[in-house]
Amino acid sequence: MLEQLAQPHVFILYWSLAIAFIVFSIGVVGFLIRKNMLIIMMCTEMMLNAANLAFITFSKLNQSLDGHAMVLFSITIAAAEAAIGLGILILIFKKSRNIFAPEHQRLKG
Amino acid sequence: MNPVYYWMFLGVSFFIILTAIFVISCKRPLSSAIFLVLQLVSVGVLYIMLDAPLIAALQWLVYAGAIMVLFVFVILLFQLRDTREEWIQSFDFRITGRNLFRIALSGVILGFLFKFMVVDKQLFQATQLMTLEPLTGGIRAVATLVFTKYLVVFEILSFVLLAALLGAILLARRSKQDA
Repeated sequence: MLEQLAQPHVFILYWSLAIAFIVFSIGVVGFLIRKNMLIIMMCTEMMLNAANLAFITFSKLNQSLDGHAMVLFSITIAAAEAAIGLGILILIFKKSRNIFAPEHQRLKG
Repeated sequence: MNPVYYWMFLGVSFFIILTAIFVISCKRPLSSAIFLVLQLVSVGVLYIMLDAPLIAALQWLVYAGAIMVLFVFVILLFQLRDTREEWIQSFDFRITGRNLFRIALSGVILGFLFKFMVVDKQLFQATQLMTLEPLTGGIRAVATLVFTKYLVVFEILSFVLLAALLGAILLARRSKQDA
């Protein structure tokens, strides 16, 4: 299947970098404007994913597989981060019955 | 050149950006999560087009499968009823100190990122119509790299996962004492 795909011109790789940048920006904007902590965590996942896309693109551009190894590690970190973050979120919800960020500005128990 | 590749690339990238916008603008967290699954799956399609089939498979299995199922479970656990008020509050763009701070912060972050992403114009003009060799991003090549050059990183990552495991156990236990 992969052999049937044509090899792309170099300019499309720059395009893919631009997509990574746009998705990262959307993630940053969502992180800053949304108040629901679940959606804030989804935005961090989206930003991590945009960084992964940039890794893969540079890996193709430089004809080296180092980027693929880095993405492997980054996916591991993302999984650990999601598990811990959601655990903390569940604790917060148990304590105060809501997960809206403005009501948790003080980090005192 | 195969024009199908370019049309596919255009369509997938458009879909990625569209679903990403939906993720941050949906009213209910569950629809956000579903759009995020769609976004992650289509990024996986892009990975295949960039010669990274192993990473695409991991993206679909780990990201779109495991992590997002975790998210959906947590959303179902919360059973949030009043998400509408949060949604209205989030898209409140009146000029206040807090909103200005947000705009400044995102501007600084994205500006720095954009500055580092500036492409060498001459190099780009010289190479833009070149094609690259196909990259063999299969499991054998990537695993060889991970277990030779990045062996230390790999071992450290196992400790990171162990720390995450212990942290999750700690969080769960403390909540049991409270109750």
